[in-house]
Amino acid sequence: MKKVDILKNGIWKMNPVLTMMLGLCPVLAVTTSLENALGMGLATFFVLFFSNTIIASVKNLISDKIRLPCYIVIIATFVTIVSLILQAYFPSLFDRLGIYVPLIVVNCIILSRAEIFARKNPVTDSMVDAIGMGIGFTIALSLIGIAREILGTASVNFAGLSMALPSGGALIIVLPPGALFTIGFILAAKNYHKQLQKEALNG
Amino acid sequence: MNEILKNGLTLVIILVVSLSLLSFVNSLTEPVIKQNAIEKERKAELSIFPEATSFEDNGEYIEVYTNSQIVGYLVQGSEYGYSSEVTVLVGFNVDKTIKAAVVLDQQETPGLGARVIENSFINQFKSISIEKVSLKKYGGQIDGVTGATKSSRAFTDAIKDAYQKLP
Repeated sequence: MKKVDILKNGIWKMNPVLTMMLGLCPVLAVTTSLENALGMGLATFFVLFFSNTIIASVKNLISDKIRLPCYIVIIATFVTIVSLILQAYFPSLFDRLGIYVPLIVVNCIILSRAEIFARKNPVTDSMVDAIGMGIGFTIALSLIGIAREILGTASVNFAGLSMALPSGGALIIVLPPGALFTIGFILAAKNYHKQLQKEALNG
Repeated sequence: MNEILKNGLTLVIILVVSLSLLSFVNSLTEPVIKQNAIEKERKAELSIFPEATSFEDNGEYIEVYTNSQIVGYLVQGSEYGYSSEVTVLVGFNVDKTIKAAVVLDQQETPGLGARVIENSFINQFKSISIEKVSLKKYGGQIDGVTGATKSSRAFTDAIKDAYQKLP
């Protein structure tokens, strides 16, 4: 598979959230605002990149029988590093993401990329795969985050800039049910796009 | 037997490498994290008593001095809200009326219960006596955050909890 295809695969065709529906727990929980969503996306991206790279480079040294504990140790190491760095240099983001930072360890996207991809492919391909999946995950989270922030609070805060709309937001969108509504509409849009493409192909 | 030994060794090596990496990162971030926590508390203390010149920690409460004259007390209180423990830092004047209160820690619902950290809610606690610290529906004079009675109530109860600890 060409590197460009691997990258595209992660960002759009096999998008971890919008197509594979993986790692939905943090997706639903932290996407109450654009900033939180982006922070979570980048933290997961970082972990995914290093775990894929390391696992692809040591795959021949690890026997099949003990591969899962090895992967989990590697993933947990990078999650702890991310969590320490966030706590030290981005304390307010760390406070807002709360329990979902340590829970990146059990995010199925990361383990599934190790199992499905990094274990069977060369190091550079695995890096590209992690970049594609990481970008795909971050984009999906940010989309949901910005939609919920605008619809729910009628304002957007990002990197110190804030913009408020004149009318009030619908509170339910920032509550847990709102996460499901939002992701549902985004999935519907993606599937509609896919259907249009299919119809175009069939003439 | 040989295989078990080999697998065990692989695991040990991976663990040792990852532990040394972690202890290295920890040694870099630990002082920063500690400093952050101290600064956060200092900032909260000074936001309540900007005129303070020194603090004296008495365990349950902190005495606040301006030029060796006692001006009030700082006390932490906490109460469980909707999804987390809400911890507040309350400043009391010497006559035990409330000077101001700030939230130190909470994990309430973002955009809803977490709005107890906003000024429109917190400013209601400036310069009032403890008897008035209750939501209006419980006979006090505090307007709760819309749709977040539990979090608002945790905040008022946390202040009462702090009041209990005063000397």
